[in-house]
Amino acid sequence: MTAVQSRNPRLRTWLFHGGMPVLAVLWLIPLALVVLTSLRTFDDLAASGLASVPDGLTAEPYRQALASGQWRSILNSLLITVPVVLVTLVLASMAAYGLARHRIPFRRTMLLLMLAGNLLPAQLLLIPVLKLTEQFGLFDSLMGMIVVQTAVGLGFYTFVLHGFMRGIPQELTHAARIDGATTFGVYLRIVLPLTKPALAALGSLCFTWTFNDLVWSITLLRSEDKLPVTPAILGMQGEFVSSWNVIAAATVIAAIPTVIVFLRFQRYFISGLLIGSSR
Amino acid sequence: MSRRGFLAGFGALGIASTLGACATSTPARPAGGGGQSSTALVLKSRESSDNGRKGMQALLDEFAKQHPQYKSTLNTMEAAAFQQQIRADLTLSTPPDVLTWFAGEIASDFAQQSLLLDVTSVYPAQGYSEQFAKLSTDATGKKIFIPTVYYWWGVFYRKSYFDKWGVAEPKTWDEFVALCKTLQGKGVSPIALPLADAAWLTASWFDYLNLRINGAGFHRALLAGNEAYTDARVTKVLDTWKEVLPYLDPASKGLASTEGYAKWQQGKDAMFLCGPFLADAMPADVKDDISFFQFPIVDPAVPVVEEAPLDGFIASAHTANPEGAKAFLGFVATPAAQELYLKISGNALLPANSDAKSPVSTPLLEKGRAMVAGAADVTQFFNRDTNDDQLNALTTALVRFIDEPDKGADIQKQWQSDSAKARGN
Repeated sequence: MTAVQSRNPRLRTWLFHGGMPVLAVLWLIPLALVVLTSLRTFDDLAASGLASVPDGLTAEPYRQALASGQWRSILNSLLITVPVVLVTLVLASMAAYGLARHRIPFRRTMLLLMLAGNLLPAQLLLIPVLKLTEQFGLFDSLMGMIVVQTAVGLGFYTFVLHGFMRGIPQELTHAARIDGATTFGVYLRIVLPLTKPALAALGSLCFTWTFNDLVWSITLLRSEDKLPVTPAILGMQGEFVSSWNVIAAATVIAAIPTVIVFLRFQRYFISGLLIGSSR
Repeated sequence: MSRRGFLAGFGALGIASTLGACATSTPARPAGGGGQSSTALVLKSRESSDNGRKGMQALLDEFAKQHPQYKSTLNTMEAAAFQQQIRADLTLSTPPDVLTWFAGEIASDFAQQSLLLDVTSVYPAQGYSEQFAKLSTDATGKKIFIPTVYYWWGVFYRKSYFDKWGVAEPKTWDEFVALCKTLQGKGVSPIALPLADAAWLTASWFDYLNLRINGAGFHRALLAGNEAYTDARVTKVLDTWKEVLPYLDPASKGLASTEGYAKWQQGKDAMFLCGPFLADAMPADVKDDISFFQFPIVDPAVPVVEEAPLDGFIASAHTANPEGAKAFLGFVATPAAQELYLKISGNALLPANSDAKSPVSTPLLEKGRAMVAGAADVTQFFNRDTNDDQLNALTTALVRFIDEPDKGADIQKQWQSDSAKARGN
């Protein structure tokens, strides 16, 4: 392969341009199938199967999905996700700045501890956290979800931001210090603006992860009117029989917010994570 | 919109939503216990299908009309998640007051851990058969479960297709095997058994063959761990099953249950050992075309036992509203409530209270009712008569048996060891 590449760069280009569309199509087929399924009637699906030519297209599954209370669950998801993203970014960036730029005793231990916490599978924490939230009166509340989701993710975001902030030249922060900026002033005026790409990248990651979380929400929430969108979609499945088309429609709707966030922050996402790693 | 504007808007939205979240996070109801009584009544249901949800809501609405002092809420959770949550739910300090559940070992297990409310006082003196009463009673003689509906298992087929192929219902195992052969000769796959997400369906075959060959006594002893899966009688069950394995739809292992139902509906698979729920989401004209026959008789000397899983309600022992929970359970035991649920949900189920009538009586329902009534004994279903760990041991063994029917002895040994391990935990 390498011999071919070095001898004939044109062939390489051809291979790339020939291969990529195939990969892209393979990647898109399941998505296209979901969208197509969401536009068919259940009787049509049941009578001729998933892999068949549709009888006709209809927006009815979308109407059904929204009528079954999906608006409310999407709102719940946003009520959890947006505060989690904001609080996480503020706390993680502060912690990372402290750990990266100040000689705090045991800073390395703290960082390792945060990383170690991330290596624990969430399943291990489920029952203890459930009992804790019960004791603090946070069980079955959106507030509890926000607190837990923030706490669970914080270690990882701090770790990544710490790496990123260490790459900011010392001269910049020193200069600000000499000009009379306080520690907080340096954080606010120098470090935060420079960290913006990483914050945007982590923010969109955090948004997706929190928005798509299922394990925590089915552990910590019980009332149906507080459920975010993932367990709400799960609840659309019957015990024995599921209406594929309505579930597909609900899934498509639920994907919209994350897609918007990703499209908006896409360029930071790539550049932000790369800068952090290359220093 | 500029990036800054967007971020600022995003931030404002975040602050607004934080406030909103604070407002909604106040506890909905006071913590219970210590003789305190609440008027809130939370029903946690695993009927997540659209029909089941409507049926449950109708029950609560009717209950609210009769008992306006209680404020009831319906919480629906998808069945698998429901099953995972229930142990945690029953031990919460503010548990759901009443929950949907089924008769069998797991309910007895909960009762033994004193997680269930004693509902003897609201259990109707009349209307329930002796078998149902026994299934609702714990080891100390208290009633802990109120049965509401049951269904049955049988080999389902579509009448129009059977007519088209010119075949009739078999009565005995030999006739069944011959029918499979005939169907295969006509280019039809005889038996549907979709396993991709429903390996538990294999348990229906094991249950029925074991009941038909060895009878209910051995079946119960085996499930209770008093007999071993290495027993020669289990070998006989597997050997009998082996006779029809070549007639399973070869695509079975890759099919999700809903795809399996669809394939059966399209007549690509002729027969499906299942409950009437397989047709729940099918169009009305298909529903009218559905029939079933009793699982074929293998040994005429063995009394006929049928599987008739019984569903109903339990109440949590730690409920903050024991009076309301009992009132609700008393309500769902009435014929009127059971008829209401069946009417609204429209599912092919039979009311458990024998004074209740099916709101829409179809030939299918009557056939099912007659079959269960004519049975010498009824069982629930493998995992209801044991638990999900035992079911896992079974599915591991039987799915492997479908692939390697000649390794029966090995599989039985492994099955016995898996089962014993699960029991040890």
